[in-house]
Amino acid sequence: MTDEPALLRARGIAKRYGSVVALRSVDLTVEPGEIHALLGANGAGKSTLVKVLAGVIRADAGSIELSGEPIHPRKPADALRSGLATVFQDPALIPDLTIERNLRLTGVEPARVREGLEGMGLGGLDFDAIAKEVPLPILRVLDLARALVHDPQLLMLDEITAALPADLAERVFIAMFERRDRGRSVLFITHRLAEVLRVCTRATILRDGRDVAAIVPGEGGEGRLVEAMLGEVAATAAEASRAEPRIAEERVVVEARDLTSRDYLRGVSLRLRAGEILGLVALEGQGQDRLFDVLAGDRPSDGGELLVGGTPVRPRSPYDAIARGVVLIPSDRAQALLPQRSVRENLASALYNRVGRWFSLLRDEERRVDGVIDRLTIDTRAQRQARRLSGGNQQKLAVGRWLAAGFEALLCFDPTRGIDIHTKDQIYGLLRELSAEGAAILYYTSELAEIPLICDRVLVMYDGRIVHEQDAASADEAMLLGAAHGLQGVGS
Amino acid sequence: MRMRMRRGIRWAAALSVIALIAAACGDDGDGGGDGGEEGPFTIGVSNTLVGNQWREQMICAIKAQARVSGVVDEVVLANRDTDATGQIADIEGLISQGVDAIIVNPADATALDDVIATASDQGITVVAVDQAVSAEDAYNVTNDQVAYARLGAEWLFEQLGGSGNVAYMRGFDGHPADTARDQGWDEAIANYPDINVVSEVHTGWDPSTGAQQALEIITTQDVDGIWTSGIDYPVVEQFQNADEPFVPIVGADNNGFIEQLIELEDGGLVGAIVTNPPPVGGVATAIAIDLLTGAEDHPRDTLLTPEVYDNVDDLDALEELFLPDLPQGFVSTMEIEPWTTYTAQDVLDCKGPGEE
Amino acid sequence: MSATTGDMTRSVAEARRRWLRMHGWTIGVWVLLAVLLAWYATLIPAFGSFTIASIAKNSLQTVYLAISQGVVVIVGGIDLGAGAMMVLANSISARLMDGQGFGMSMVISAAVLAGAALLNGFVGWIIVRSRVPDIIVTLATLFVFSGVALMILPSPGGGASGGFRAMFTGSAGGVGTNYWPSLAALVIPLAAVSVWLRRSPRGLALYAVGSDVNAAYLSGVNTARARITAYAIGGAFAALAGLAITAITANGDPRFTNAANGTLNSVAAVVLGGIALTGGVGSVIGAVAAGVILFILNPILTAMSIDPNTAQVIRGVLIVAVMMTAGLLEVRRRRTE
Repeated sequence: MTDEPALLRARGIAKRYGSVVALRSVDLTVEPGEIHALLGANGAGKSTLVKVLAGVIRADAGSIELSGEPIHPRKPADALRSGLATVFQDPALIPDLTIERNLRLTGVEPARVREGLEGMGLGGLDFDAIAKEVPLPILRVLDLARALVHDPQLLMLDEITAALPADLAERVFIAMFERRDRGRSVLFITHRLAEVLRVCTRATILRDGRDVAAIVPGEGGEGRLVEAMLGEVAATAAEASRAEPRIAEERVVVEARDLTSRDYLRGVSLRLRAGEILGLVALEGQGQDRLFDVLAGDRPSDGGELLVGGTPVRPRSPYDAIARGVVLIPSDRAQALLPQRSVRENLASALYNRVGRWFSLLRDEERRVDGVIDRLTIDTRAQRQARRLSGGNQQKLAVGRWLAAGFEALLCFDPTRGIDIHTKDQIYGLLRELSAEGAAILYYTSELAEIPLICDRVLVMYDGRIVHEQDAASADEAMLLGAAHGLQGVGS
Repeated sequence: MRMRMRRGIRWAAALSVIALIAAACGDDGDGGGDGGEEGPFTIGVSNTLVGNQWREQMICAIKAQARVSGVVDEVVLANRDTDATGQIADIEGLISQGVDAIIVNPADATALDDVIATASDQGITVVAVDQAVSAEDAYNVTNDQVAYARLGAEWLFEQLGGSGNVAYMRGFDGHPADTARDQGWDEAIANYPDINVVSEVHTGWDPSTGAQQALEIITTQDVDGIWTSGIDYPVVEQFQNADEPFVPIVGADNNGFIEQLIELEDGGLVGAIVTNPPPVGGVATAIAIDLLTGAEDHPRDTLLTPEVYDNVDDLDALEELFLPDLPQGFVSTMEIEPWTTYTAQDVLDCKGPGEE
Repeated sequence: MSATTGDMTRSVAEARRRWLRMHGWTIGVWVLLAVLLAWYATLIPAFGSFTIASIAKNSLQTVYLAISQGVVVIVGGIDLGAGAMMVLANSISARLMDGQGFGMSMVISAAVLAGAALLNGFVGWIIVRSRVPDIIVTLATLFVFSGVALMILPSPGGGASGGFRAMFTGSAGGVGTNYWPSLAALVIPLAAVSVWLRRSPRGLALYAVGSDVNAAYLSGVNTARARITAYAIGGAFAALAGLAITAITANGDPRFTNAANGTLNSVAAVVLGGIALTGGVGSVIGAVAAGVILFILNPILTAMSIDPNTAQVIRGVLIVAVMMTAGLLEVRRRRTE
């Protein structure tokens, strides 16, 4: 390297939220005129780091230097003044204002943004449109164009391409190259390794809140990137507790045929059989959220067919889906539980909606609730408020509700996010037991290592489609990751 | 953006067109009537306290008198809970409606001066009722509240032989009528140096508040007599509840109190009513109609002097006033001679001209 | 994929539809007002300059309160103390202006407006700093301001100069046929605040904070300043309502019921006027029409000889009916899209 000071030098950045450590200690150096990739699995701390640099949140420890000068951004406007502009994962546009007013709000001249948009092929964008009615990809490009007006020394793009169609992504790259050629720098966060290989000169890789490697992507290819992101292949008690390969029943509980929903689902077909755990793997923003919403009845699909127990259905609300035995376990426990009510009441809550239960729970159901409490081995008294339980016990409770009420298919959306390894094992055991009793389970996880531990089959979703399917037992993390990044030549 | 502005202006334009058309259509309407016309007349009423028994009876008396007069074809009621600001708006609305006379129970004695002057300028007769207003053009028809307190107090002090301990249970603190009654009380007590006021409370003219205060006075004070500003029957009930011997009580012409005076006379209850009749509304109506038709001229201020009836000498009069089928809070005085010409039943029916 | 971009390019038909959707409520509520005015004109014998002056003047109180509450609700708050601020301004101004000339009255007005802005801005600062919900802090100010008003003016009284009264009412006596001053007093502050809200970055910041406080923060908006500003403006408009009462009645009335009614009417006007209580949506122009509607219902119901109890019911039903109609239209629109 040169003797010139680096454009950005962050040292020892640490941030914790309560007991959760988001960043342990991260060093990051960005040179002038480079496109620098910031990589890492979900939850590695990428977005937190960007927020610290952008002045959205303040780090607990560490220092930031820009061109050798220490800076202490306390709010986004400070960072912008120092020459750091950011396009956040969620576009910073006010949903209820028109585009033009959004631009005026930040003191940016609309004409200059339009110039920038013209360069990206969106010169005709109607600035009188209300932001919340503009498609997400367009908003992200608009956010980028707005940031470019400030001509920042360092432009930070947090997963800007995740929701972008290929043509728009291409235009964004061209804008990035143009900045690099003018001696400006870009910090680029993405899940798409192919993009990293193509546009980035260097990459810093985060894992568990630390920077674990600085790599030149061209040397060693994706293999090295994947290896660095995953770490030493998660040596949990994997082999010991690996699921026995089983033959699922033939009965299909939930079947999706060519489901579509705006830009999120572009034709998803899958069959979930009784007695199996079907894994689903995808990077952020590939349509998995929407797929679960549609299956759980939270949103209607635009097209395609949904069958439950062989009958075509069109659930209008989660209530409809639950009535047919299709129930959701969300990753955010708070969504599923009544945090201020007792364990017992939470378990019984799913029973409340049954006809004829207007007065009190019948003795039979009291007994069912008792049975579930025994089975879950929640190590606490049942009178305790749900919010006082640990995350893992809360998740057990979320599953337990449906045990009390009864169900056909369980849709688990990243149920082990942020749960310790011991409780994870308990949840795996519970789910496997349930499937052995004939339950059909769809299991989305952001942690690839879980797939062979718990699933029978696995699907990979990319860009609103199922792009890959295989036996879970033979699933290799690198292979899944490759498929999830939309890389060619990995399928079966 | 520019388009939006232009639309806005167009809307404003459309609105003013509507206003102008309406103005053009309406301008040939007739103004208010000056004295000496034959009618039929429209009488507007502005009242700012809703859900009050006394005010309801006042309005019914207005309607009844208007109905029997035969020269009024409509009574327009602007009747809602509001303040002086709202009353000004209501009176302006009545002016817009082209009424010939306005009977107003004022929310404020001075704030209505200008709107009343405006009404007068347009030939509308304005009569303030219950409480006088300062407007020069208005006629005032009121019960004499100073006399109300003085007459009742004098009766009480005479009953006690000019000496003893009394409780003074007033009305709503700061209300003009309460202030006027306090003046009458002071006038009376000045002549009786041996009367001691052992307790002075404000009931707020609320029966349940008054009952509580009475119970406290009865059980903790040595009182020889009680003067109330109209919260009377709850006080008698508290004597019964506490099982204490009655002391002389002064109240108003409430049906419930009259009943007690008649029924409990044997049980040792001595008391007097002082009339504070809501038919004052009927009197105002009669005066307004006289002024409209030119039948008779009236002075600016008509002060109705209350009457005192006790259950010692005037039991017959009390029995005549008592209305067995009506509730305790109902005010028993229905007619005021010689002004009102309706029957008690007309007031109970509470129907204005043309109402079925 | 390029279809997504194609959709968002300018098309006249789409622009018109969107304009209607954005301003539909405001237009609707103004049309409702026009219909009510026209109807009222048929109910009374003479709809002339006296009636126009009366409506314009007597609407001022609700209109100013609607703007006051509207600005605060747009930023995502609510000011239950608005009515009390009105009563406070009314009491102070009526007490101080009694016996004073026009010049002094103007000085007093300016001081009252500035004081109210500062005081309510301070309330906003408390809300921002303490993180106590708006509804709780302003519930407290409702009681505090009302109490202070009673301390300043224990019972109704005070006065105002003729020139000052004419500014709001068109005549020195507060009643007359000259409606231009009242209309000007209605339109000028409205125009100023709505242009500021929609055109200036500071004004847009209020919408931004009310709409999505996170996105606003990430956009570099000073969210604390936006909220404090909204409360300050709200306080000034509530005080303007109080000054209007002083001008109309030449009297101060410190009673608590006036404060409570003022607050309730301001919220009703805001809701009816199409400003979402969740913040960020709606315009004060709609709230102003709603304020006039809430006033005009009184003379209409009187003219129709409707019992006052029924009148209250009708007012409530009207608010619910308007909200439901708007809700149903929105649901239908979403279904078809």
